[in-house]
Amino acid sequence: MIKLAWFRGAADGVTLDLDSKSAVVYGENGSGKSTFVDALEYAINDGRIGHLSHEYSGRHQEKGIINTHAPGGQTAELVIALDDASKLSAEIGRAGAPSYTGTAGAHIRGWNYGRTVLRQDEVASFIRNTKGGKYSAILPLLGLAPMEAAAENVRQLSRMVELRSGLQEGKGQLRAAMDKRKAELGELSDQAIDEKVRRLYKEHCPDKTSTEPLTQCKEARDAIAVRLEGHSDEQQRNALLLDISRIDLISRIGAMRRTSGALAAATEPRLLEKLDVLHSAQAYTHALKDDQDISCPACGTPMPSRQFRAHVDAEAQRLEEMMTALRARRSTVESLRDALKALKRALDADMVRAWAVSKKLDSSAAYLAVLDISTLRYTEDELQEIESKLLPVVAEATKASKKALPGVKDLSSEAHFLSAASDVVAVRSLAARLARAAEVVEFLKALENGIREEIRIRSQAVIDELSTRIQAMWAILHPGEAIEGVRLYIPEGADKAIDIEVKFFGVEQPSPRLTLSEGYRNSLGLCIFLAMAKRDSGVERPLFLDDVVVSLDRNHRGMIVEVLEKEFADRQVVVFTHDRAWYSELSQQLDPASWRFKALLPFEKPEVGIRWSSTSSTFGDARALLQGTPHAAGNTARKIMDTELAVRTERLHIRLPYLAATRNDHRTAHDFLYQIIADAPDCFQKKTPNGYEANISGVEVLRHADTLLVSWGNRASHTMDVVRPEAEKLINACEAALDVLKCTDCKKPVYKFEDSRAEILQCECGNLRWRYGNA
Amino acid sequence: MTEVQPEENWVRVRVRNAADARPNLPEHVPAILETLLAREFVEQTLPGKKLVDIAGQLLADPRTEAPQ
Repeated sequence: MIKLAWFRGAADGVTLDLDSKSAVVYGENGSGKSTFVDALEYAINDGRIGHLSHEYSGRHQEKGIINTHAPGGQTAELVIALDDASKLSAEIGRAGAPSYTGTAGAHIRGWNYGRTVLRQDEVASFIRNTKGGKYSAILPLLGLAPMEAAAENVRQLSRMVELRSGLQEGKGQLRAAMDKRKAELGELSDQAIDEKVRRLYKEHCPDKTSTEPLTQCKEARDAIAVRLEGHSDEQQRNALLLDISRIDLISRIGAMRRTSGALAAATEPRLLEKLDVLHSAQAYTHALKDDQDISCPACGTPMPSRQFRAHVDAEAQRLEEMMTALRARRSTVESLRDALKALKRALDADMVRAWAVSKKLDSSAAYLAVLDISTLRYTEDELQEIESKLLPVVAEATKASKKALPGVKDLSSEAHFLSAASDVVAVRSLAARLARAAEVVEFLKALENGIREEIRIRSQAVIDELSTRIQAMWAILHPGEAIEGVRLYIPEGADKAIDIEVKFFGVEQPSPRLTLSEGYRNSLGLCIFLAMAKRDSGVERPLFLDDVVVSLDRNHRGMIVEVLEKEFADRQVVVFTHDRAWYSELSQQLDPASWRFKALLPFEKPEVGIRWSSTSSTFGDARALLQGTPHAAGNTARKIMDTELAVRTERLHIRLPYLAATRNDHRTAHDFLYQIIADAPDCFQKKTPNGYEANISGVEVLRHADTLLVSWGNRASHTMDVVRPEAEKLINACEAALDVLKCTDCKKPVYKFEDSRAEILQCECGNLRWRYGNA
Repeated sequence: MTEVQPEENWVRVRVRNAADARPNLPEHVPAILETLLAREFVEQTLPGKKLVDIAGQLLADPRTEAPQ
């Protein structure tokens, strides 16, 4: 039940009472059908109605939601009651903010609007949507939102692990350490390094027992330093000069120049490009106003959407290259900084400084003494100064160190090895940590791919099932037609995308938009909506179809009944239509045991609001015209009879004479009544205590209506010369004529049941019958 | 004995498939993921802070630190 007061077109109170049944609601344009659909959308979407989204509708859309003629201080109200007696009530004040009460709110808000309501202008929206939009529309149906959340969480977690572990930075450090190891230890394996450390430890520290390689390195170096102190001052100085001679300043400065050059090469053009991006971004802001194509949001380059992914990948690749260049430079900075520190440390020794002065290298020593290594930026000027001041020191030290005794050379070499070996050992824990982080990252990436594969498999299964349903419904609506093979599919290589293909006269079409007419597209859209709704059959919620058959012709429209009866027998469906003929057909074809038929009166004015007709017939349309235009009321009554009698004549198996060409489709109420009245004396019977007798009184009612239709109905149509009492009498006679064919006891039409062998139709209780075999 | 629910099933299959291909992966990592995918990971997109906590658990060295 939906009850409204001052909501949209409703005045002080109007109720769509469904009594737990499905319903067909007739109302001409503007009578207020969509107000009930709006109310449902308002309840589902927490106070928002899509078609009211407009700058003029107010913060809470109150200017569109509250009846423009609601009395001062009057609030708008809506109540939606469910079968289990739970309710959602909303009271909407003048400012538009709703206050909700009732226990059904959470339940109703849990309904998916797009799978509960289909409006006229939304029928083909699925087909018009992008592939991504189609996927989003279907995603809730797939039941894969949790898996999507899982895949996204795993992806984010992978990124987080990468950041937190410093994987990329660490890889750079590791690479620098490996370069250093190679330069100082050559291709020595870890095992060979460990063995040599153990041997030197045993040789220089015979009384010590450490098994930890780092400790062994340190203690062995300390022991070597003590042994060197036992040599003469000159040999001790030579040992220090040997250390200086091992500092490969030339190659480190060269590496610095190379990496700086590479960084500049990678960075400078990119910076220039970024300036262009800014210019493009400025153009982009103007482009928005002009409704031009959207450019790449990353760099501003205009391109078709399908190239966007490749473009973004290329951009990422270029940034990666810049990052690699940056890391390489950072590594060479660290290497050169280490070399400068080692040189400074060596020249700090008094005996080496004195040696430098004796070699006329005192300006180099003074330069190094005041050099703040931490503030160097390694510009070309700085590198040239380092070269000019410090390369001579290394060259002289290399020359002088040759005078070192072999024993001193060995000790110096061993100390250098132990220093390099301790770096190798220290880097091993970093390598192990990074390897573990890399394993976790790779695992998470594989897991994300696995989840996405699972999503794809399940999506495929669900869309196959949906395709089967769509095909079944399409086959009902379009039996034997040349458009077939309608199916949803996941486009090749696409992620989060779904599209529709059809066979058009046997030729596969990747999109129905290529060949299908608007009517067929709407029909297909309806099938897709119903297939998706059907997929949700486990969900207890109604379906609201608001004027969805507007663009379907009579043949296709007629088949919708079969779809509703076949596929939605266990679901509450509310069909709104302004099509009187279709309403009449539905009211004859759908079972009144599970369907209600209700008609709205034409909208008169906001203060009066939406009103129901007192009967389920559409004569309310005619009565609404009595006051101002009685001839139009009479004409409307005749039009209603044209439609209603056509359906009833068919149901009564009345044979009408064949007319030439299209005249068969243009029979009037009089044509039908003439034949019904002609057959009725023999066919139309009612039960009496003496058995079945001809329903003479009923025939008289039919004849009376026919008489008035011929005179006043035709006059109303052609000369507009009908006054109000005449039109009113005509309407009443027409309504009475239709009622004659309905039993006054069981309220069911005379054609409710049929015995085709006996050629008899009868109402449910059998008081009224029609023996069509007698005709 | 409790029947294995289909949702739990895919989680286990996918986690194990990904883990089986990586013999050097610490054992606690797939165990944590299996638990997460059966619970909060499938409920919503998690905030960054929560993910940082989980990343810390995954990166913990099982020889020196017990994952929380």
